[in-house]
Amino acid sequence: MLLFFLWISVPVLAQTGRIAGRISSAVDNEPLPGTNVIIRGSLLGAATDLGGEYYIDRVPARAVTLEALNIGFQPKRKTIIVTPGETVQVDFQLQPKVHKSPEIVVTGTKRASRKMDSPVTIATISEDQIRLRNPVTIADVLPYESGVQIIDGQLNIRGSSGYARGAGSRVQILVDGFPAIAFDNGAIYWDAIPAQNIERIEILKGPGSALYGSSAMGGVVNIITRQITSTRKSDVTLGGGIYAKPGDERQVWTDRPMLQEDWRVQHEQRFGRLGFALGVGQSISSGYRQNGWYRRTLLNGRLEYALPDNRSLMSRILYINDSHGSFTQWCSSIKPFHTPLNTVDDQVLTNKLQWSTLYNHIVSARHSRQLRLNVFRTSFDNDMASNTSAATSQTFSGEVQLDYRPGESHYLTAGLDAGINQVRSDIWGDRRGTDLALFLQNEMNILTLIGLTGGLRWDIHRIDDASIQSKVNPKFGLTLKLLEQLTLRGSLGWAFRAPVAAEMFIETQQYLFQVKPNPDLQSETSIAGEVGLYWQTYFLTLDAAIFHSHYEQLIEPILDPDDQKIQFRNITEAVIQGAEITVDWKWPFIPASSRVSYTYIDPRDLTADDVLAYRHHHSLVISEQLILSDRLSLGIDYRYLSKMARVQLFPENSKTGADQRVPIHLFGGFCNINLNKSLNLSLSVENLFQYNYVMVERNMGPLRLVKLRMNYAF
Amino acid sequence: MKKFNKSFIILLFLGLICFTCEKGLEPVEGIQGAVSFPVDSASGDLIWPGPDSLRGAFVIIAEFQYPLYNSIDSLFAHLVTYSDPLDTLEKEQDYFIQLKPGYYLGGIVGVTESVMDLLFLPLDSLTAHPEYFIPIGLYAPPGSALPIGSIRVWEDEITEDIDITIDYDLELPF
Repeated sequence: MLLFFLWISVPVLAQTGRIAGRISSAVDNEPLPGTNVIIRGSLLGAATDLGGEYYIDRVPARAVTLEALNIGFQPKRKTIIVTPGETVQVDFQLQPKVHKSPEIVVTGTKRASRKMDSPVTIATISEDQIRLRNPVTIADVLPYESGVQIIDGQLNIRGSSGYARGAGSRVQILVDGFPAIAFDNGAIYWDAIPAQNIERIEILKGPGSALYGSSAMGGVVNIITRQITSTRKSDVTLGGGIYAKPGDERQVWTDRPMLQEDWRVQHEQRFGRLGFALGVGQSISSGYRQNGWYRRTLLNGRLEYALPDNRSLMSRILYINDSHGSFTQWCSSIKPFHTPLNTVDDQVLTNKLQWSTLYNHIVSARHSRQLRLNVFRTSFDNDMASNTSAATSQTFSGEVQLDYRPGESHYLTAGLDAGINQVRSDIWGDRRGTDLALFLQNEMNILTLIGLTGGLRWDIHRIDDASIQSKVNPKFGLTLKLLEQLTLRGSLGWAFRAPVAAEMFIETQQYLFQVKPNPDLQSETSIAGEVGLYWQTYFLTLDAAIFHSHYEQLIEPILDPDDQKIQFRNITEAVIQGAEITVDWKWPFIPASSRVSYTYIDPRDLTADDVLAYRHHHSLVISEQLILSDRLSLGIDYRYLSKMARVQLFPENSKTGADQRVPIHLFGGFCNINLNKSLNLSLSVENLFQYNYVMVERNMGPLRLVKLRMNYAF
Repeated sequence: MKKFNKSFIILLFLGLICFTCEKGLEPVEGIQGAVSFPVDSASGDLIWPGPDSLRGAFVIIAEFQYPLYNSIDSLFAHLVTYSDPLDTLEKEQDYFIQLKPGYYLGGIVGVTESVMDLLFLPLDSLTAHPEYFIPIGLYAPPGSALPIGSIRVWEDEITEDIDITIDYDLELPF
C-alpha cells in the first residue's frame, strides 16, 4: 500500500526551474569529473561527467543551497534563487585538500550518503587505485582491500564464503546496483564484471540481505561505472604481460614465454540529451600454468538519455565470449604447473550477456523513484576427459525503488524486487525459479548527532516444485557523531542465502572429484553484528570494527566418508568473529601516502568443533604510494595471509610432507606515467619475489607477472 | 625530515622483505619413475584389467623394515602413502610421489573396488581393508637378484628411475 502510494503520488510542484554548471579545480581550472552536486535538504542532485559538467532538473522555484563534494577538495556551497522555467548557471571552483571532504557511498542504504554516516563498514576503491594496478579483471584489485580474499575465483569478505569452486557465492556482486551472479551455480564470472570505466568500487562488509536479499549474506561488492562524458572521447588501450619462469627447472611446463595480452577500443559521445559509449576488446593469455590459457572477446555498450523533468534513462549491455583451459589440480608436487596428462585437452567455452536498464525519476525535492530491469544470461560448455556437460542459465529481474523524504533528516526507502530464472543443464537438470521480495528502510537523524537506521526485506524464493523458502531479514543501525570527523557505529542484521540449483542438483565428476546432489538443502541464515568507529582528518583516516556472525544451516561442500563423494550440506552451526582496522595516512613533507589494514577472523564450525575450512585467520595489506610529480607516481604493496588452518580434501601429510601449506607473502609494485594529457603508461608487477604458495590444495599460486599497459585517449 | 621519512618507508619495506625472504613452498623430495603395464605379445595391446577383473591400480609406498613383510597385511600396516590412480589406458606412464628422506619399499596394487570410492580415504581406513588390494608389482633395482629392493630418498633430492613393471601373476617374495 505504501509502495503504491509512493509510486502514484504526484508532485505538486508546478513552479520549477533547472540548474546547470561546471565544476573545476581552483588551481588549474581542470574539470572535476565525478563530483557530487546536491541540493541540501532534498533528494535532488547530480554527479559531474568527465567534462566536469552537471545539471539538475525540476528544482523548486525558490532559494536553494547547492553543495559540491569531491574527495580531496574542500566542499563548497552556494545559495541561489531558482526562477520558474529558467536555467540557472552555477559553476564551482573547488580548492584542493585542506580538509578531506566526506566520501559518498550508495551501497549501504541504496541512496547517496556519507561514508562516515554508514552503520556498517563500507570500503571504497577509487578509479586511481584500480588503474594503477593494471587489472585484467577486478578480481586482481579486490584482494588489496582488508578482509577481502579471492580463493580461486571465490569471493570472501571476512571469511564468509570459504571455497566451493566458485559455486554459491555469499557475497553479492552488483554492477551499478544490478546483480551479476549466475542463477544456476551462484558463481561470479569475473570476466563478466567490467574492469574499465569504473568510477569506484564499494564493498559492504557485513550482511546485506535486508536490502539485497539472498547472496548478500556475507557482504556486497558494488561496481559503480562512470557516466558518459560530455565531450567526444575515444580510447585505445593496449596491454601486455609476461610471467616469470618457475625457479626450479623441473617445474617449467613450456619453452615458450608465458604471455598475457589485451587490447580495447572505446568511443563515447553525446548528442544533446543522448549519450552513448561503444567498446570492443580482447584478452588472450597462455596462463602461468599448463591449461591456464584463456581467450576472451568483449563487447560493451552504454546509452544515456536525459528526459525532461529530472528523468533519466540508462541502458548498459555487456557480452563476453570466453574459452579457457581447465586446471583442477597439479600433476604432482614436483610439477605443480603441469596438469595431469589426461586433462591437458580439458577446456570450457562460456558466454555471458548482461543487459541492464535504469529509469530514474526525481519527482520532487522529497520524492524520487527508480525502475531497474536486468537480463543476465550465462552459458558454459565443458569439454573434459572426465565429463562433457553444458548449462544455460538466464535471469530476468526487475526492481522498483521509491525514496521519500518526509522530514529534514528523515529518509524512507521502499521497493519491490522480482525475478524469473531458468536453467537448462545436463548436470543439474532443467530448473525454473522465481524470486519475489519487498524491502523497506527508514533512516533518521536526531539532532544531527545520532543516526538511526531500520529496515527489513521479505524474500520468497522457489526452485522447481521444491518447497517455497520465505525469509524476513531485518536490520538495525546506529551512528553516533562524537566529533565532526569521528563517528561511532553499530549494526545488527539478519541475512540468508537460498541454495542455488547447482548445490541442490549437481551430479558430475571433474578429474578425480565426484559430486552428488542434495535436493533437501535448506537456506542458510545468519545474524551478524558489528561495532566500529570512523575517524577522518586531512592526514589520517582510521576505520576499525569488531564483528560477530552466527550462521545456522551453513552450506558447505563436505566429503561424504561413506562414498567419497562431495555433497553440499547444511552444517548446523558456525561462528565467524573478528576485528579489522584500516589506517590511511599522508606523510608530512613528502608526497606519499600509506595504507595499513589488518583483519583477524576466528571461523568456527560449532557442530564439528573445528575451524571452518578455507579461511585465513590473519590478513594484512600494506600499500605505499609516492607521487613524484603530476606525471609520475609509483608504489609498492605487500599482502600477507596466514597459513590456511584447514582444507577439505588433501590435508597436510605429516608422513610424507605432501600437501604442505605455508603463510602467503606477496609483494607487488606499480608505476604510472602520464606522458601527456592523452597518453598514459602503466607498469606493474605482481608476486615480485616469486613466492610459491597454495590457497587451494594442489593449485600453485600465480608466478611473478610483469604488466605494461598503454592508454591513449583522444 | 624529508630524508627521515623516505628512509623510514624504505626501511619499513626492507624489513618486510627480510621478514618474508623465504620462498614459500620449497622444492620437494621423493621418488619418480615409470610404471609399465604388460602388453599382449601378439597384438601389442595393453593388458587390462588382468585376470582378477581389477578396477584400478595405485603405486603404494611402505616403510622399509627388516625382517621384510611376510604378507600384504603387514605391508599395509606400514603403508606410508599411495598415488593418484594410474591411467589404465596407457602402456607406460610416469609417476612421482613426495616422501621425506628415508628408506622405503615401492609397489603397485590393483584394487577390486571402485577407485573413486577409495580415493580420499585416510590411510587408516585404507589399511583396514587389505582384502580390496592385490599386489601386482614390486620395485627391484635393475640387475638385482631379489625381486624387491629398498628405495632411499635423500634430503633435497628426487630419487629417479624407480621403474616398476606390472605382473598380474606376482607372488610376494616375503
